[in-house]
Amino acid sequence: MKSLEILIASPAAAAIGWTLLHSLWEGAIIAAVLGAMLLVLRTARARYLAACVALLALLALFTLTLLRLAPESAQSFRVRDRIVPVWNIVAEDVGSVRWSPNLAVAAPWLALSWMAGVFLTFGRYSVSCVFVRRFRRRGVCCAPESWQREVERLTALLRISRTVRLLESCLAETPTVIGHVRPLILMPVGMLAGLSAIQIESILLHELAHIRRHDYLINTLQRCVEGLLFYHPAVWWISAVIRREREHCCDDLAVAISGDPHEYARALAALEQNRFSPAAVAATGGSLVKRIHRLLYPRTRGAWAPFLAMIILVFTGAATVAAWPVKHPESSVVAKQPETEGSLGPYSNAYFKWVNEDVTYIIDQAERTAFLSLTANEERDRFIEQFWERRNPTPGTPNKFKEEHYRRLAYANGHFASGVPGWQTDRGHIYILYGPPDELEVHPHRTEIWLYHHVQGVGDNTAITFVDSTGQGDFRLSPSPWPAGKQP
Amino acid sequence: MTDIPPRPTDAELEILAVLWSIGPATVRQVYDVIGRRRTAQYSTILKFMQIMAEKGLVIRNQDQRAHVYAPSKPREWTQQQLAGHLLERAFSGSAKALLVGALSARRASKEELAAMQKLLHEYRKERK
Repeated sequence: MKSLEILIASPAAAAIGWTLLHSLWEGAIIAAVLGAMLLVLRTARARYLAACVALLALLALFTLTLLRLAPESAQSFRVRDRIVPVWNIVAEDVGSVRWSPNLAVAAPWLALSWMAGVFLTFGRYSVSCVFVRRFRRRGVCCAPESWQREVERLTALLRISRTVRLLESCLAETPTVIGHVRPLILMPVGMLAGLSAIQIESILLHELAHIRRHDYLINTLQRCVEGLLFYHPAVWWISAVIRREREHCCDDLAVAISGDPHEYARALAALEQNRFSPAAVAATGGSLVKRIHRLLYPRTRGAWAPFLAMIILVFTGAATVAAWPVKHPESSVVAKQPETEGSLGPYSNAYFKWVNEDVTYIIDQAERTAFLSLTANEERDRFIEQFWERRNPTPGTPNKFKEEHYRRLAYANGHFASGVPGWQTDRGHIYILYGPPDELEVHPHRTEIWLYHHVQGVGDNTAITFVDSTGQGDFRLSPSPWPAGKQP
Repeated sequence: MTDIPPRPTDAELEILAVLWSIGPATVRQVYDVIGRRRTAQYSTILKFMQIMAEKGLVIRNQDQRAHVYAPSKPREWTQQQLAGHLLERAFSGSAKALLVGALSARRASKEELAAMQKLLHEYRKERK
């Protein structure tokens, strides 16, 4: 159990856990965009391609998120100039900070369950691979010479460079393609004798289309992505779209060459009829019924489809923008605040916020009194300008002090929030006053020790200890175990 | 010899597949088909088919000079017997996920089959 605890506490587990959570909304956006595109795209080819790109994008985002979170968390045990507790980086991204502490506890467990799931899925796949290999050899016999030659003719017609073998199998339930480098078409035993020549030809064309399009390989890769992101509903859906459109692509190719959709549809129906396994439990409107319908009555899309697509895109875009983190809050909010002409309330919100939130830790008592006694917004603006200029290390140039101050404020809000805004927490207070600690120790028992080598007006080697007694991420300043000024 | 023949081995299954494919056949005919796929000895196949006849997997018709062999059970029966194997039942589902083919792994229901026939029938009527 000890090793499990270590695993849970490891930064990698947290990074994976957060990546999993992030992939949920990433996937939702991708799925929505794909949904909109499917409304507009007509050909099976384009739809298939769009779905494949969507799945790849999901995987890419997952990887990028993991890479982005991983190095940060790897350093979180000892960071020189930035404190980066993992959960808070992420919270900043999501734009909602309040729920982060609870998820921070859950994230490593999510990672653990995910790893177990991936392990199981891939374990299952490897056993399946053994069964697939057996499929190639077990209970098969050569198809009649004439059909083998027909396959060769169609192979050349489709310009497939690989040699395709046709075998009859007593284990295959339906015509099946196995293998990528040495592709094999398995026909159920008896099927070649049971269908008309035209029908068999069209079925062979379908299978050869799979081979030409490298579907066996792509399907295997697709299953790997599915195994990796098995928990994600968007992945299931996108994967189902890929599978459906893949069959449509092959149907289209088979019909384009054989030229008879009706005969081809009949062949599909006959194949389904002749399957030896017991019929499925009642279900209607299955994929094959839809495929046959699509073959016989090529569909034209309603005129509303593009509009619906636009609506989906606009909503997705709006949701994305709304959730996007405000990383660099406008530092001159106050100056840009529109003047409330005529009606001069005691303080408009922006000025109130400025004195009681923005600069509350750095404004001194005299300045505060002076500011509060001002009545006109012009005076207040001038005061604020002077306030910053007094603190400008190199007057006349862009104010480095102000920039740094607002950066610290944003950082504190983004990283230390727990029930209250980040700037109100003890860690936020210290961070805004003194900036990032020179050294950071994170202890497993919900303790963080910040060490400053030198603090103006306080002393050298000041250690500040924060303890999170509730486990909710609410770190409180605790009386330092080491007297200030002594080496910890 | 019992009523229910045992599960065929892989080699026996290969021979059965040929018999299901081309119908009742002599050892020579089976040998010709198998020989197209891999190198095989006529005597080996003869031996196998004699054992299979003893096991009840095939039925030997001795009316003619060259003995004609026929599968004792239809393909569907044997396939179900094979698929009944526990491990295969557990894994053939996910194995099918790795294959691509004209039909999905899920078997259509009776209602779906009827719906398909109806579609095809209507289409034919419209065309006439």
